[in-house]
Amino acid sequence: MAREGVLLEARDVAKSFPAQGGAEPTAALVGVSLDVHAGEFVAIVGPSGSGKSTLLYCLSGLESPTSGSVVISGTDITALAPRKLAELRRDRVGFVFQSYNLIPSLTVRENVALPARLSRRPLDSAAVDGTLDRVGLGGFAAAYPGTLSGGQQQRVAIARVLASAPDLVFADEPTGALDTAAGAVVLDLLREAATDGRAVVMVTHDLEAAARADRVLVIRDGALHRELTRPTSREIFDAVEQSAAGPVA
Amino acid sequence: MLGSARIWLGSFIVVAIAAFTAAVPAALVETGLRDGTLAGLALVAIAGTITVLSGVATVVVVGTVMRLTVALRRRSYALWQTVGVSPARVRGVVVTQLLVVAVAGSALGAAVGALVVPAAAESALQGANGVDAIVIGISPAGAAVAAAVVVVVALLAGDGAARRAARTSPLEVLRATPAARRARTWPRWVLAGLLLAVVVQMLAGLAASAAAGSGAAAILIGPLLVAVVAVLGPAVFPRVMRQWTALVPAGASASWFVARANTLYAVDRSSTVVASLLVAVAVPGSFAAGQGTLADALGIIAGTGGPSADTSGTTLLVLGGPVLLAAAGAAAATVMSSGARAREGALLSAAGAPPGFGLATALWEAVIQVGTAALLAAAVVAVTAGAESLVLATVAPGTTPDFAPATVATVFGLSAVGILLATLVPTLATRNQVIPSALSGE
Repeated sequence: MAREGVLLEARDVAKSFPAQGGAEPTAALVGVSLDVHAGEFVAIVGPSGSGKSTLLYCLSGLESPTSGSVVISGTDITALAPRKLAELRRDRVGFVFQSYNLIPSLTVRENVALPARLSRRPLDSAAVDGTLDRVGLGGFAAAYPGTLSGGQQQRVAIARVLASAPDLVFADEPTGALDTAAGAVVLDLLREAATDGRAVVMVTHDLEAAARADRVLVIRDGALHRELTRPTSREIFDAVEQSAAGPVA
Repeated sequence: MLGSARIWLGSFIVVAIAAFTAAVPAALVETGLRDGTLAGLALVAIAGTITVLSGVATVVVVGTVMRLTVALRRRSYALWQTVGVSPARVRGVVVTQLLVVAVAGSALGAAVGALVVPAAAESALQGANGVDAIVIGISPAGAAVAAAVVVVVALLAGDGAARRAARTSPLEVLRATPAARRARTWPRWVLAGLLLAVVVQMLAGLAASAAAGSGAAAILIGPLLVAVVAVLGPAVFPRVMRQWTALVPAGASASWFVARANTLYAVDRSSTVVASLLVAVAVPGSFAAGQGTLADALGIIAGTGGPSADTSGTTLLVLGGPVLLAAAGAAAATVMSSGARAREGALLSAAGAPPGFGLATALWEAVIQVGTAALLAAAVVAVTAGAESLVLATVAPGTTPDFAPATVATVFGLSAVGILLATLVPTLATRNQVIPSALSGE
């Protein structure tokens, strides 16, 4: 049963990967617990190899945690059969990846309409075009992703998410491959997505990008180290520095 | 790494089978010339037919597979350019890689051919009037010539692809910009025109030849028409695929919709499969159609209702190599492309596609390729049988076209099953791949 206003509940999430040659498994996440509320824009930061992307994949159901539970909109996704998990991903979750991950053989319009097509919902062309206008790509509906710039492709990826209006949007380094101006546009769009009862969880190494979030979680060695509310980029930097130097709080 | 191994192994196997196939006419020619008797000359004549059919199959299949090999590795070549390797050097390295694969594959194929072909050919020719007593053999030099021909075909096709890969902007490749059709098209139209002229000339002489009791050209007209269609493949295949698949409403199935888009977008890989399947089905189909239609005409001329000599062994010898090569080419192209398909499956899963959606998409892609090849093969067989019956009717009124439905259905069925298996096995092998690792494995 979901608590009021809580879209995501993770409890004691752990993830380890098998090591080569019979050695002990490598722990990527160690007992991570967190909540994400409706309307929140949450950023996860940490040094390289800290486990932030693994955490995002476990929270979103792209990877199965070794132990612990992840509840999205009242559904424990760690207990779901693959088909149900796919349905949940399609209907309640959206993804924005660093490398855009659009389907290259589909046009911009077809990419944005893909989730509706997959879930056999009626295709609303006007809504798709409206979403493309919203991300500033109204004139590119018939283009293929490969003909667009990185910033434009990322905006298509966000349009795909916005068009299906999921409860939760997971973004993995969404500005990692973009210049400052294109990155700012993408962050504005993600900020907009965290409204109307929806939320965004973003992994980033860009502290300026993280400072746009309502809440910032600092992760180190697979464990949550600090939680900051509406911090400045300087405060995030200090927290990351402390996490790299000191023991886990 | 696995993806690269799959690509190189696929092209290696195809080249090896091409060299094995080329060893058949090489052995017959060498034996026939050494024998020097009338029976020996008959062997050389059989070898001539096999050479035409194997030549069509080798040029089409080896050529398209070599081009696919380069196309599938365009990303690696683009990455080389981003670290400062010059386009000329990229081309040189690509050609060297292809040369190594072609030489190694051809050497193996020709060596196996030298061991197996003599006994197999003698077995196939058992009962064939006059030639069944000849001991067939092939010298190392004969096998080397067969291997060298395949290496030359592979390099000619590969060099053009390497030149285009080296000229393509690395950014264009890395951003997966839709491939522009930059290849020169006029040589294809010229070659197709020349082949068509040969076909017309053979048709023009067919009636007189049949009236004299021969008409052997009838069995080569169809395979040459296959070559015409294959040469024009880059222009013909996408159009045929687009037209007939448009008959299925886009909303009928999401997996069909995505498969159609993939097939039309990744035209390099789908055309390779279609070209090989076309050869696998239409070469034996049109050969049998020509043979059947001619037999009907000769029967009318002789007043016997058609000859019924058992030529199944000779037919197997003539068609076995080209069909084996074409079927292997289609299967290899499918398996070689499966790495790209695994990533596409992961992209779809990330977008919320249900389990099995990637598999369904891959199978629909196979259906589109098989269907396109079947339509084109049916057209070639129909044109062959129809045109020949019209020409032969001038000297043998009442000649009916033989569309060789049994031959076409048999080779089509076997090829279709092979392609579905070649699609199914690698796709199932990647089914449980975790999405993030599939997407990161670019």
